[in-house]
Amino acid sequence: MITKKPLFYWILTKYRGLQLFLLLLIVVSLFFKVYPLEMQRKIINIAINLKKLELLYLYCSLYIGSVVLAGLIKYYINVLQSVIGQKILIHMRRQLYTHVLRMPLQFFHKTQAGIIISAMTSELNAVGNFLGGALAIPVASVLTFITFLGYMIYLNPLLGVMTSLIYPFEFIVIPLLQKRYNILNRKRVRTIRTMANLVNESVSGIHEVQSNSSFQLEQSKLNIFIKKLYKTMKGLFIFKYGIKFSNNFFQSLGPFLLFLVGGYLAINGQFTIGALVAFLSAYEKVYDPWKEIIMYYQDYQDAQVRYKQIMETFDMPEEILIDIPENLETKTLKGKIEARDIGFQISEDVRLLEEVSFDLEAGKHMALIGFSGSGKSTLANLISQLLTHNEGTLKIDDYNIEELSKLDIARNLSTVSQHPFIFTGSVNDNLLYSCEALRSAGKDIDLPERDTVIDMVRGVGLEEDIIRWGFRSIIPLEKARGLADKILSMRRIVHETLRQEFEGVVEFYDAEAFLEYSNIAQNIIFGEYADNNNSDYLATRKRFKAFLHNHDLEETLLQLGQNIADTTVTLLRDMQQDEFFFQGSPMEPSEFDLYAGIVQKLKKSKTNTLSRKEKDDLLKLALRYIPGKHKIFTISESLRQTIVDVRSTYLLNVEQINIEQCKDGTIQQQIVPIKEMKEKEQKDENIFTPYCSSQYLYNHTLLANVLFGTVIDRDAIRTQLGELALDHFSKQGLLDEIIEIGLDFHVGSKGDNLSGGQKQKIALARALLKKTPILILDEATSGLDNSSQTKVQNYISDTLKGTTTVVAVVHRLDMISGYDHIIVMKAGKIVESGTYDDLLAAKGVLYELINENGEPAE
Amino acid sequence: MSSSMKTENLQNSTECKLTCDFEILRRSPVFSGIDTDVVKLFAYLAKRKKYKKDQAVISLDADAAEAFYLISGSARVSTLHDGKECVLQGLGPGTFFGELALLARFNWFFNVFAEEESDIMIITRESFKKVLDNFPQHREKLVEKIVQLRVERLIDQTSFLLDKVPDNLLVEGSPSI
Repeated sequence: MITKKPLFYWILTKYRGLQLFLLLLIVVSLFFKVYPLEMQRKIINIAINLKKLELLYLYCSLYIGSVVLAGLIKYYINVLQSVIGQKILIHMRRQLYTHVLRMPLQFFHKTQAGIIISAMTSELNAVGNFLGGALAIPVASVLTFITFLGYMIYLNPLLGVMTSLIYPFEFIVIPLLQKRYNILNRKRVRTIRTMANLVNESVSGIHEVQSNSSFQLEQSKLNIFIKKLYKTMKGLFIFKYGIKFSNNFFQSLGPFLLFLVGGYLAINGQFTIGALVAFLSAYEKVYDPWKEIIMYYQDYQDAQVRYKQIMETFDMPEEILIDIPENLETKTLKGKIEARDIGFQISEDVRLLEEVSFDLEAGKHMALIGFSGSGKSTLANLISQLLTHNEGTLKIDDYNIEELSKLDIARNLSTVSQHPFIFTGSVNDNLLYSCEALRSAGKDIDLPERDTVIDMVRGVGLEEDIIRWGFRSIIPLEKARGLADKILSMRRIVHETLRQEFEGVVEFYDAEAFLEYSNIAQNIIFGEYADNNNSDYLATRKRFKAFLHNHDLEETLLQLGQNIADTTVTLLRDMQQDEFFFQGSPMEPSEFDLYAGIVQKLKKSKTNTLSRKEKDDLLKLALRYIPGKHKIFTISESLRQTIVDVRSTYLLNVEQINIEQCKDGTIQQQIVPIKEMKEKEQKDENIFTPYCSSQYLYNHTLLANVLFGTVIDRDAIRTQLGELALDHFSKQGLLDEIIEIGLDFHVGSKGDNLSGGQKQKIALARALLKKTPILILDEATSGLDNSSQTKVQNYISDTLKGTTTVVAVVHRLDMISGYDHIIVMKAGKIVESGTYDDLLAAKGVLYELINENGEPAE
Repeated sequence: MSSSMKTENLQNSTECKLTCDFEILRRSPVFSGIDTDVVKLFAYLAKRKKYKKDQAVISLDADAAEAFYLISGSARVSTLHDGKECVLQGLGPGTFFGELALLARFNWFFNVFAEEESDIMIITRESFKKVLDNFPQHREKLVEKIVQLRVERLIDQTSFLLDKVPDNLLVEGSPSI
């Protein structure tokens, strides 16, 4: 098992070729490290001494040549080392993760996610860095060390031996210091893990933290460990640099001895200067491999400590056979379940199940009911092979459950738990998860067809949600093009067939009417630019302002802006802090002071004394103004008419669109061709869409495009009118594509965008799509409303009777009458077992439970 | 066009919504006698809505979060008793109803349906609270007026109902329905 493998297993078995090559390189570089030393000696003793210039040049160039070469080789060595390290790390990570995923459930109950994450990521990283050079470095360093030492002894045996005597001292002192370092290192790892857990906990429980305002409490919890970590790190550094210091100290002893003894010998003519210099260099060069050996030792200790701690965390046997030998096929089971005297305990005195026995024929449905804590969920988990029983036998189709591999179970059994986990991704991803899992395990099952998925979605009652999500999506233009006629048909239904019902709920874009619920800008241009904030955008555009000026609207709108600013500033002067009060004015609360200043200025002088920017600001207010929403001011009928009149001119002159195309109201089949759109996008132009009824609104939801107007009464759309419209749409077969789009809805991180009920429905559909012979439900409908629960129960009873064995933990007693077999549990034991009618007639526990709850017995 | 003419165009041809609603509130029973600034704010925050015949204005058991003022048209107040709709009162233009929603949270204990096309002004509890947070000195008076209004209407409702009860069933001191 992976966790029993020693650190060096990885080094010795992976990438041996590369490591050998690395070793070779190091040995080669050795030569180029010694060579310069020789050159140094020759330069001084021969070239300078004998005053031979040519030899000086020769030796110097040889010197620099070999130094550079040595450097290049070292550079390559470093890179290669790291690469090897990371490559080995890949293997380690993969195997570890595989092991982790297959560990029994108990492991995950008692180990916090923070530890697992920390171990798999950062802690492993540190080990990886060591691995690359784990073999090559020590070997090379030792060789280098011996080489240099050899050279020194060659130069002068006495000095050489003397200096080498220093090293044995270090062999004693340094391991002592290292031991202390190791203890602190382990402590560091533990502290970081605890911190990761704490953070993980408070983040997972952020709901509680925020609703209890326990910020201080959580803060102080973490503070303890932050301080602890600081202390530990401080200690670590003290020892780390302590080791370095002692090393350095012993090092400087060397030259000291050298100068003392060597100098004495030189004075007495027994030693040349050149040799002294070379000796010094060699001495210093010896330090390098020695330092490398020390560092290696420290890294090794570090990596060993971390590696051990990581492996200890995951040291639990994988309980179940995972993969089967290649010549065996996965079994296809019928679904007969047999239990004899099953017992399960999680510790010495906590027994969750005792003497549980039952027989369930294939295709029959069994309901597990009982008091809370009676062991129903535990039993369901045992059958799903998520837990392993301690006593008794559990057989599926006459195979002992321990004999079945995880893949056998996956192929034949689907589980739905009470609080299902939804993965980040689309609805479709989640629905097909179980099927995808089987596929990637190599089982050649086909993924369910779109239609099957849609039928299943209907069966569990998720259709409405999916349609709603579909309508809420903003789809890319290419896709919209494909749906063009469908969208226009839906629009036609809303605008024509249901026009009366939608009157007052949606304000349709009508080219000849003033739009009360759109702003002035949109009313003038009768359309919108893709970059949403049209009003502010247009207020700064020269072209637009020139247009206004040419059509006598500039002054009017400036005046409007002034009036709005004036009224708002006066009315809300004491309430400028509260954005609630700005709902009836186009002014933003943050702009209050700005406009107050302008209003003040205008009290004293005229409009033409305003700066360009101030005029633009006033224009912005006017353009943002929505008559139906901003009560702060009311514009006149004649202004409304003027604006409507100027529309056609704007569209023609500025956007080259003939408004006649928009007027007759017949919805055409054309949407602006995609090619044109793409070109415009590339030019970064702000794309304009007029409110002509054959147009598609870029960057708006499907719903907005179907309604093609401004929503006045949001609630009405959500409720009755929504249903009415959907009814019409589905009769015309328009909804299938919407459902497809809805299936692509992104559920958010871990299903954040979904309600509890929606998650359960998805989990149910997910399991049912796998179409396995056995289905285990653990209160799988508890989050659904009553009608949905009944719907799902009916689906199960109707479709799965006879074909699928169902074991369901049920909490609603009025839903169990359809089950073939009922088991009542209490405190881990079965207290009643039989058919619904038999148990009622016996007037035992079930009978009392039902009557107590006031549920009518059928 | 000269700017002065344009200004006229802006303001004279249409009745200003804000001013209009302000006038309505000023003359209503609850807000008469309250500071102009305050009434103006309420008018600013109030919404107007048109209801069709038999459309629900207030639904039984729904969250009560708004008060209503009937500007034009008429409505009926009713509850469900033994599964049947019982009319408690008729409302005409110029009446406030649902005013208690401004003071506290509860669920509606009656229905209000429009008897004909009606124009109704709506004030939310949130706006009530926010305005009075800025003008706390008016709160007491407004609350008093609201309670008095409620009492008055309760008296009206009771006599409306008691008128319907035959005399022989009205026994002194005991509830007869």
